[in-house]
Amino acid sequence: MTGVDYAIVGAFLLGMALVGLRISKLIKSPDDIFVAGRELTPFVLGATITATNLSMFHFIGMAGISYQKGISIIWQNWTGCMALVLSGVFVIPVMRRLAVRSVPEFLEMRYNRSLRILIGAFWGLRLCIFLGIFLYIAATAATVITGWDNYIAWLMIFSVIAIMYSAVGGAWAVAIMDSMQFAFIIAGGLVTFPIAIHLAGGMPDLIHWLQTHGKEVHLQLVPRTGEFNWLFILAILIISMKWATVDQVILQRAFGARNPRIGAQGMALSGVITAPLAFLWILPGLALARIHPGVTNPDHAIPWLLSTQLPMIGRGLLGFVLCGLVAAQVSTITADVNSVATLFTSDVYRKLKRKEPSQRQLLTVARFSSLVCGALMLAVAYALKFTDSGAVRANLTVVGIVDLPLFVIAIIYGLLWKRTTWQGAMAGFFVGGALGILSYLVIVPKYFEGNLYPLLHAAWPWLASCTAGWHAHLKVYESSMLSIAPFVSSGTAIVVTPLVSLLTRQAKSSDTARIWASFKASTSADDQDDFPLVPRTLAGKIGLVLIAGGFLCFLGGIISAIWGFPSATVMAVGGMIVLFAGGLLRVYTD
Amino acid sequence: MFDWMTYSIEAVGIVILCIWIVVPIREFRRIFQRLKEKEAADKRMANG
Repeated sequence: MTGVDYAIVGAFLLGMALVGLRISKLIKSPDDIFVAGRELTPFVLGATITATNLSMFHFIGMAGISYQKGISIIWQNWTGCMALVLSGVFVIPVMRRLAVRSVPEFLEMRYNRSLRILIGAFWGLRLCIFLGIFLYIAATAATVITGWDNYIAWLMIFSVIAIMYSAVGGAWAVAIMDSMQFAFIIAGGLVTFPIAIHLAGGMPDLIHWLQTHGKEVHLQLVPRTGEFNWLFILAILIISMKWATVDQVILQRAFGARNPRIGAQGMALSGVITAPLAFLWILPGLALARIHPGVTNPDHAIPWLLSTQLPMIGRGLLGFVLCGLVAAQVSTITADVNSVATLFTSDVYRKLKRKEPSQRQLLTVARFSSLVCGALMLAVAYALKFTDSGAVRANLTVVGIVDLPLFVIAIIYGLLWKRTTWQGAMAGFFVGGALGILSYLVIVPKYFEGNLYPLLHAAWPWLASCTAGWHAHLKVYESSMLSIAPFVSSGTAIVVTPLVSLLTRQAKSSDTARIWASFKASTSADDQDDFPLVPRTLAGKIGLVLIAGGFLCFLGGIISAIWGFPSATVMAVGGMIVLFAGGLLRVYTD
Repeated sequence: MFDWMTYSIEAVGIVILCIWIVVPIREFRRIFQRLKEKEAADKRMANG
């Protein structure tokens, strides 16, 4: 990295800090901090949701997986894109109509106050740990790319400015900065992508090389076997549905929409634009399989390309691409910090106080909790430096496992089954999460032999011998654990929640009545701001049919890959494109 | 051989980038305009 590159990155960071701090003028009430005064418009929402979603993990981690395992990892993005469209059409209008600020707030409306406080606190903490992992990945990658081996300095570069302006400017700062950072992220990808493909001899040559060098699987979008096969795509679809419908960080952006229709439009736009952009970080990984084979740690593939090839093409190019990577990371951090502040202030502090706090108190607590979140995130990232990378993977898997029961209780039973009680929801959430983690500990030999078995053997030897038997049978599924564990946690929550609900008494409240009423759009037929779940116009109805048809076609394609159906990829990708077309038609014409 | 795949992906990316520079700027201008008007109206109300 040359002085020009450092100057470009330095100017970018300084610019972000100055603009971010100026935004503090917009903050007048807690709603400005939490949901940007509910003033956001479709394209701004599209940009902020996409920038929040994209991080260094996409450009380095996913490209690394594509380098090692092939193109099918792209479904991690594409299923997320489909989930954003589906959430925009079916979930966001209901949530936005309820005018909530957070998912736990919805849980209080639907169930009770305790569940709101519990899940608010749990999610706040989970986000801090998750942010620490993200920061660790970013700082580690930055040391490899730049050759400047100062981990702590990189932690500070990625986090201090982000924490500062999200604490001061809240959701307004996140929305405005994300829209600017989105452009840097895409521009960085648009520079790296053609360089990588050019070095691999162009796409036709690359495809031919992969086909003739025993790497045909790298080109299969819906493989029958391997770690990222059809089962992975189904599992990641469920996780993506959870992410797009209950993830506080994503939903909070949509809650900032001016009205339900704009919320739906912003989500759909974000899904549709991210799908083609995914090629910008997946295909360079594939190209590197030819340009630079034999890298043992796939996460080092893209950093190698950036650090060795970009400086030879032009001075400052590396600095420019680094700005995109920093933007991707900072936009994710600021949105997460803002969400933690919202969860803590709105769902924990406010609910635990006997007297309703003043607006000034709420603003102070929101800013203070942003700073505490930042400090916690830094502590986690610093501690991770002293663990092995397996700990990062385990943390990410556990996050996937414990999040899915929330999707089950909030969306599946929370919106679709009136009989669900708060006891059922709580049981489903905790038992589902616990069994998901337990299945992970029983199946993965490293954790079973190292942690679970010695613990059980000391406490209950008979249980230890039973689980040892299960472990012996199940350990062959270790490589598919990323796909199996979410099915265990969500499946358990799906069974436990209704069972406990049927055994407990249902409490009726005016809040639950409000939720059922919010399924209907405004009674005024000419209210252009509302968005009906049931389409009113012919174009809207066609849109809905396309969404349903596209989704079924996609599912058919993925499932047909089990039997090696030759048109599986065409069906899956075609179905996704039809779903996108239907989504846009639905949100823009009805 | 013409590498239509790379050119298409790059072109789609550039189009998205251009749209997402121009339209959000326009939308932000409108948002700030609305906020200014709201603030002025609030001040007028406060002054009676």
